[in-house]
Amino acid sequence: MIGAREGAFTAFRRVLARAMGAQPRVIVVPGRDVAVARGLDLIAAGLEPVASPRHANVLLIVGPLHPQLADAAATLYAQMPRPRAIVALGAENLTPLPPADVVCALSQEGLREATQALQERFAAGAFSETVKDFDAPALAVRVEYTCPMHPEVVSDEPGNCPKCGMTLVPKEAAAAGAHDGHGEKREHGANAAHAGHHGHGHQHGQKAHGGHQAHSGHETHGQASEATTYTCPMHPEIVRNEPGQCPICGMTLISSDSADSPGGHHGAHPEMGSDGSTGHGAHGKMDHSARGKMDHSNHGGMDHSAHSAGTDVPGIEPNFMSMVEMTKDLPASGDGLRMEWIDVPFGPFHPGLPGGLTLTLSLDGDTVAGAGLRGLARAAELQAMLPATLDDLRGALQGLSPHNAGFYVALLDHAVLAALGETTDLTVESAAIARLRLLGDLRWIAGLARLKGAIDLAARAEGLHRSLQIGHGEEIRAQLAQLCAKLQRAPVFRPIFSAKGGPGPTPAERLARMAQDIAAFADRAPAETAAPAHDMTGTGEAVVETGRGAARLKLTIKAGLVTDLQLVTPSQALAGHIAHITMHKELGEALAAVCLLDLDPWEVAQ
Amino acid sequence: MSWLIPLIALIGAIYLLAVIEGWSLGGAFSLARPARAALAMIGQESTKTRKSDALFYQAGPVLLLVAGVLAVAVIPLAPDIILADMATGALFLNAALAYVLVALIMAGWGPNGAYAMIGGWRFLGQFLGYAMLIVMPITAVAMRAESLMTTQIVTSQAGLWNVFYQPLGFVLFMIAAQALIFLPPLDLPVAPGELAGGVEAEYSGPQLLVFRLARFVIILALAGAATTFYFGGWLGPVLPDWVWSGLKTMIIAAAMLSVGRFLPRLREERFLALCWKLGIPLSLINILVVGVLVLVVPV
Repeated sequence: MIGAREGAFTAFRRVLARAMGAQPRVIVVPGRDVAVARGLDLIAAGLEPVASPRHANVLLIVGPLHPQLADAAATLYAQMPRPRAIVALGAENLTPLPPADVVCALSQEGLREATQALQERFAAGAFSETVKDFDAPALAVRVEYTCPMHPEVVSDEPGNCPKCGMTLVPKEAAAAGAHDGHGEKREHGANAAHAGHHGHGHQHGQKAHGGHQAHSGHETHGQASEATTYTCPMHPEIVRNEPGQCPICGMTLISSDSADSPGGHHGAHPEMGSDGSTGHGAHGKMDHSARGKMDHSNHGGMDHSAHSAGTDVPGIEPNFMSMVEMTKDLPASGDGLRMEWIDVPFGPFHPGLPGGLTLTLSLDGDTVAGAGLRGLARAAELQAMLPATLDDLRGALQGLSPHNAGFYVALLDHAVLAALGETTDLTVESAAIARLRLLGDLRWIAGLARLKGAIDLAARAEGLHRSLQIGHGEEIRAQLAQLCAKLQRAPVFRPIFSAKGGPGPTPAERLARMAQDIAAFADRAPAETAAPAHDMTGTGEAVVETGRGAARLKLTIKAGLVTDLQLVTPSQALAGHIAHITMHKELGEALAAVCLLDLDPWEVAQ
Repeated sequence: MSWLIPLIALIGAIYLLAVIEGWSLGGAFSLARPARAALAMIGQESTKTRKSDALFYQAGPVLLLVAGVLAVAVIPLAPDIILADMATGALFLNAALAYVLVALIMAGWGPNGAYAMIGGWRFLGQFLGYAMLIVMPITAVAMRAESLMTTQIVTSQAGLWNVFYQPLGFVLFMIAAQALIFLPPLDLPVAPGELAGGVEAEYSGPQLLVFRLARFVIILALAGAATTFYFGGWLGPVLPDWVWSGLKTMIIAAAMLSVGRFLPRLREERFLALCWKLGIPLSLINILVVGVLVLVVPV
């Protein structure tokens, strides 16, 4: 086994190895939703799906591994503790991952065989005297060498500093695109004035003592915030051009430049009085009077405790360990609190999101301050293969997305028929499309339920999905209707399915549509069209209603070859709303909002 | 040797609980499952994240286990089967379980990972919600028993179990208990769907085993506390003392483990709002009602 753990295979370790193989804990690439879409039941096959790669000992690759996901999959594998194994179901080229330990067909039968094989692999090779390290390319760290005295001296190789001759010390180079704490996103009100300010606190202090003239810092500050507005600390929607009281709560309005750091350093000195003339025993205080002067009358009700500790103690530097000082360059969030923001990737293999989708959230605490989305943009690959025969195109569409391949193929068939000038039997076709929609709805419900930890609902939706997929739809019609009614009515699920105002159909609309589909669907895939003549020419367009909106395909066929094609899918439009719908939401809520959109990563662009 | 019997009972109960958990999570009922999982974890590497805070990282799960064992120590299985029958038992339980917060924040901070860190801080928020709700119902229980001694609390329920005497307090206590041990639907710090395991996400191998073990110990401590405070501990006809308290504890623990699978996770701010706006007034009412009952109705 390639992912064996180093060590002799002692008798005790044989027992351990057997236990590992008997109950493999798997992490699924690209995700559990894809496994469901492919008709796999992991639990029935004796596998235990887990959420974190650290808890897994098997990397299960479901279907062909998309090149864009390969690096991420390698990172995932590198994060797994050894002994670890790779199972590839219907996947061939895994680079940069090592070759799979078990290769099987992409089916439930294949999954069962793989589980059997895993048992043998672990029992035989979980521990080994000779193991090779695996380094995911994405995790490689570049080391650079720098002089302790001259940080500007940076070299790729060890050596001595050209300035002082000291030995250069190794340091991890920042990864490309590393984050610098969002300093650039929201500059502090009057940054320039500010910096000088704190650097020369002492000087300012003396000036201030001299009767509060010539507050250079203050002057600059005033200029920098010419358009001062006043806002309520509790009700940010109240914005006035003049100082005064909040009409809602009666609190004194604070000026906008201090508003981005309430509790911060202008607001911190009530005891000084508005003229700053009293209580100036310690010089440390002065640096605030300069700035604070214009605001002093305005800080009713703010928290002033932040400041006193560091500044009032004789012999201690002003601002020593001051929270205000340490956080002054950090971005301020909607509530005015300054905190370090972090950029956290969710995906491409996040347990709560569609597999393959990468959502990058800038988190301010646990509140989303910005979002980016990356998908696999497979739809663009279609353009590259033109001109193509209809059979080739059909094959490509079938492999395009594990979630919506059925819709694409139906679109192709309808578009070809339209090009031929024929009409389809609409009642039969819409029943088949309703079934496709239902499958999508069930995966959507299962995904949301997994995200929210409602395991029972997820298992139920996945079970119904399997039955519907293998053509036992008629038998579960009543159960489907029951599930749909439960989601529409049950108070516990209302918080999830009552979201309003998002793009695309609202969850309530989708459930209503689902109820109609349950009554209308039929147990058969969309009809395959008769092979059109090889020399056909024409233009055809088709529209199919998916669960998330309309998908559209326009074809131009010349002499049996498709020369032009335009595919418009609902995910492409919905993806543009990500930043808007997640902004200022709590993390879990933001993830749920993304999940509600039911994006297909295979459609979403980079 | 007085500690040996409770210890064996504890280990047995944990194993049974692990079997129940595996069953409720959708797998088949398998007696071998927890043993296999534990052996597999022992055999795995303990990975370490880059730039982890080694002390916090290593100490988090251990502290969680210590907090759990300390809490279990004051739960009586029978009048004479108890690790430490302290005069301040009920208070000690609280004190021990306060370390759950510390352990989770350490485990969240230690690995230097975003998911874990968010999980750890989420639990700090959750703590603000449940902290009062676990103390105040216990206050009402102690009022009736006129003692903080856990054995005394059990004997005070000879006439009528507290679950009937102060049902409101019982409900509040169970909600707080569910939040304290972050079981679904209040599993915000681990949130498998949102944070891929949160505070647990970066632990693997033996460390993960300690973490999981600690969680079971605390679940047992809380279920044992609920039995002691509300279900009359070992009181019951025919069967021996320890069977009664063991049975009650296991049923409550199983309920705690399985209720979450039917409910979506509660959002943090919603949980906090409920706790402070509704839970605390209700627990004060509970104390008032129990106080009046204690004075007026001698049961």
